[in-house]
Amino acid sequence: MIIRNSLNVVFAALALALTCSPGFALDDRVLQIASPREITSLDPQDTGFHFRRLRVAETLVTTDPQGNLVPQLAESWQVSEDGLTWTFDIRDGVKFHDGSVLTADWVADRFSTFAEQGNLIATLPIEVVEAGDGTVVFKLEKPFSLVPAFLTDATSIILAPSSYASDGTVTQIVGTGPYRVEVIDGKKAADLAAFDDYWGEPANIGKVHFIGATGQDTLANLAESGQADLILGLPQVLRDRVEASGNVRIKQLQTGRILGLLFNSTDPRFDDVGERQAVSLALDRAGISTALFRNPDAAANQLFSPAFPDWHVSGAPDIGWDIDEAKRLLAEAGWTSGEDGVLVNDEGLRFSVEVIVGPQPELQAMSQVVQAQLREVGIDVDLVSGSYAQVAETAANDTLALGLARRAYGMAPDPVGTLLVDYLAENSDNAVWGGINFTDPDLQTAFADYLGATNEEQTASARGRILEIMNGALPILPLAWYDYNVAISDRVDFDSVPVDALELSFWIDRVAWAD
Amino acid sequence: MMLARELLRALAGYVLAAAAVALAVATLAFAAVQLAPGDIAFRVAEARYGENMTVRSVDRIREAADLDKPVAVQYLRWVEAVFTGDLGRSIVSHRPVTPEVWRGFRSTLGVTALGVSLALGIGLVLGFAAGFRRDSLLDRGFLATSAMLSSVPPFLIGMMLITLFAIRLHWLPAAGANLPGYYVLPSFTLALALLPDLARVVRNSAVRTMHEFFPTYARIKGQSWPRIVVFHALRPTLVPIIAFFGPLIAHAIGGLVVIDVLFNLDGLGTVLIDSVLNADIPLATGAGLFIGLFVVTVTATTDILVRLLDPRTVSREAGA
Amino acid sequence: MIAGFDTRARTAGLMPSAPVLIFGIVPLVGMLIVALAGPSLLTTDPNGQTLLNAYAGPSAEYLLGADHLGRSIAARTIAGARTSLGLAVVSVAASLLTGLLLGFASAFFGGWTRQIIARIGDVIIACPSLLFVILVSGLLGGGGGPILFGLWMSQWPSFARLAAAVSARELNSDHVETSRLLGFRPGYLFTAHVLPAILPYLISLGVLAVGSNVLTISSVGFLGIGLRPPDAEWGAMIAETMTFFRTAPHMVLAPAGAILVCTLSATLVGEYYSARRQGLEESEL
Repeated sequence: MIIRNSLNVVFAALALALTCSPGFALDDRVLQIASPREITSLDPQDTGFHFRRLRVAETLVTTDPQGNLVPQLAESWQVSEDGLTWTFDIRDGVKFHDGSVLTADWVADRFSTFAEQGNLIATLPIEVVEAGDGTVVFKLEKPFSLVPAFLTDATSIILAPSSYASDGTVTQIVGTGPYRVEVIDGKKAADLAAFDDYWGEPANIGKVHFIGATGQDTLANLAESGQADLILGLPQVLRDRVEASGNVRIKQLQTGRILGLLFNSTDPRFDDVGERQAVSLALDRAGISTALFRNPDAAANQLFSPAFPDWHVSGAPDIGWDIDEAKRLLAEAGWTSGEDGVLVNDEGLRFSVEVIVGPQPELQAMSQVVQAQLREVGIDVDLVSGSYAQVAETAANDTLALGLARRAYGMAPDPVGTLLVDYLAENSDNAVWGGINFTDPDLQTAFADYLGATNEEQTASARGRILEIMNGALPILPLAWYDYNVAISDRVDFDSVPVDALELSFWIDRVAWAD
Repeated sequence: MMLARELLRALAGYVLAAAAVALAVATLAFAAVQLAPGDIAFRVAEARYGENMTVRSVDRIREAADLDKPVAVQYLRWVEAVFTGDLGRSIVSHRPVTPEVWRGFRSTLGVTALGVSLALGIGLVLGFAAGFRRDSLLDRGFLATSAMLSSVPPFLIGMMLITLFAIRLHWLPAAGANLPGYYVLPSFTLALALLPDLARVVRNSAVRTMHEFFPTYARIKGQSWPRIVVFHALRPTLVPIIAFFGPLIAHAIGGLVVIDVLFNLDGLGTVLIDSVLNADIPLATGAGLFIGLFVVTVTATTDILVRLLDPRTVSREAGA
Repeated sequence: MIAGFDTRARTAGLMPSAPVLIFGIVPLVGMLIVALAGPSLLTTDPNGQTLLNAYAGPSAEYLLGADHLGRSIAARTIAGARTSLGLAVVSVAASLLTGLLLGFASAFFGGWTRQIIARIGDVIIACPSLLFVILVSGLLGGGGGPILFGLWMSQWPSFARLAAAVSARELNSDHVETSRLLGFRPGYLFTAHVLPAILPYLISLGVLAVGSNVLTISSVGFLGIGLRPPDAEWGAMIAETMTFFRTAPHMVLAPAGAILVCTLSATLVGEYYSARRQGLEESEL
């Protein structure tokens, strides 16, 4: 009796609560977006790219969805004859979200601090930055053709003076973009509202709510339940599941990010190019791409994907899966099969490598596949679960023998930007993901030629040489290219959502509702 | 008077224990961060900058956070900071620790309170009903169901709830904390995870009371049933249940980490885990301190309540 | 003689009733055998990948289907028994032993020994056990060792408290006083008097702890800081494959079912003995 009555009360209360709640709000006025990145801090070097993607903060130069350089806070730029002086005209009448006005003096002031931070800007051979009359002038130590491309570096977002505390740390994000920050709730949520005084075309949708969700399952749930209107950066492996749920369509692009293996070029196990090529041939890229990424086209046959049309050698043959050839190359390099099937060289060194694997799901899956497949040719891989930071640490201090890493070559519209950060000799102390103990003077010459090129012919020649070395000597072995997926719910106008292979922006100011 | 003095002594003991426990838990977090393999500065850099880290940025972090000083110095600095009440700033996000921990606690609190209340409500009802009719069909069914429910990992429960209510029915949000009703699924998951153990404790306590009480009832015959329940049966029955509160809350906090991950909430458990994995010492120790203090407070409160309600337990050894 | 009488009376009720036997003891023992026998039961390599067969459903070749890397789920579930259940049992055994010894010591020696052990125990019990295991395991990179250590550290105080309570009660009782006065050494007091008294409690608490540990291990595996890949572990298997739950549910059902059966049977057995003990206590009142 008691129990039946009590249960009735409980169920009635539950039913009441559920029917009274409006379900979750299918609120037409707020665009719900989600991506796998959290707002871990307000430091531009950390989340600068994120606030730029959210169209809150802007840089001097940016790109359009096709990857071409377009002016943003700088209206135009010129370079002197000798290539050493770059002048950028700062746009007039740009207001920050707090109402203050953008001045060339402030921009020049900011750039003096940027040199210490950031990746790309730190590599620029800047001698001095000065403010002119509505312009900012960069004086270089040597010619550098990529200055505008490097100024797309997200760590150089221009924030208002009110964003900074007296010690120079950022306390709030007051930018120039079409959206301004209303609330940042912890690291997983933020509310944005359209900025009325934006210098360019105002945003279509007035309010945006951003969710940062690092869990794969959570992202898929957000898409399938219809809670998120846009998922920007849906992991490839979730595509099928999300598409199958109906009400959601996906735009897909191949990016310039790769998943690959880093080699230590002075380690006896990998110091011979033949050894590195053997590893390349021992891996079934097609199988990996299909099983792990559900996309056979993701198999990387070279370093740069079709996202970089100038750098991608179209029509290059796929790297086949050839275990016999791999074994032959290893034998040629002096490795013979030991008793337990693991290769041994003349000095008795076993071809056994410890690989630290970060927690990211695709790294975990890929590492297990690599381990199994390399075993077939006699290479023993010992997987150690660790933090990705350990991989970075061993890569930075050159103790890494073999590592599984991701690398984005689209930091600047020109992939040479990332290559310079990683492989430029002057930067080798600062580089983390560069070739480990990899030195090639020809590469350095090619870099210098590329940067000093004055016409298309010189550029193409230098580019060719760089490609030959990167794809041939294999300081980093590309396994798969990442796809960039945007899941779009049917509440949003499908065609109004631009996607760019450089993943520079979410373009939410251009997104419109379906009605 | 004897009781009051004993209570005061117990209270004093608890305050001391609370301080010791909180200090110990936070020290554990500090030690845990230090023991991590690899360079701490790199961990922080990876948490902050991800792939865009440079060696220079790592060095900057190391300097700014005193990570190059010997461990003893870092620990002493931290102890000093704790006793002056300034927990500093998170190394990763540069946001002050105390508001950060408090924010995590607030999201944890809402879901925990709701989940625990639900578990209590349903658990009390079901447990009493089953306990008072021991060995009946209801009781057996209750025990079987509760055993089955307690065997399902909380993340599976959450997964199934999300699949049903968010994806199939579109009644409730799947994740996040901004849409109305976001707290329903996480708290339900928590309630379902806590319910079996709690209901069993209630049921066992009811059984024990019935057993102890029955002969007495026979003597008191003539008094109305509700009166007997309220004045004689309720207090001893409630005692073991209240005593179970401490372990219950501890259990809940542990399970919340899983629920935080599933539902993408920024709760206290995740704050602790993330900060430890990122080697964010100030935030990790702040969170650890807070959790330790919270659980000790709950344990102390329930213990004192138990002593008040049933002075016999003071002399009776705390059996299982 | 007196001790013998006590032992017999207290261990009399060890045989379980029929439903508990079928749903509790049989599956539990069955799984333990599978865990112990482990590799010899496997015909397929649980870590052997055939990427071509990824996501394959149950068939003649793959009894329970294949996972996202083409590994046999049946083989991995069986291999997982050794890790998930084996680890749970070993950790409980370790905690039980430690708790028993420390609890008895604290009751027997009293004074400072009791204070220190009790305080340390309090500190540990204050920390939620899952959190503890996550901290230890997550920082040391996962793996069986850290998980074992974390589980042991977080559990021995519960056994110690129990052992201390029962030991104290026993040591204060008349017949043990007598034994003491007669000069019997602590070792004898322990084995002859305290141990039989504790046994029923230990069985129920221990078995329940095994069930709860299986859940903790799988939760830690789910959070991604469990045992190292590519070793099979039920929680990690669920974490790896749950994103494909709606398109390929068989990948999740096998390990989930295994966790369920394990924990359920352990809980049934543990609860049964707990209830028996309560019954015995009541009959003594």
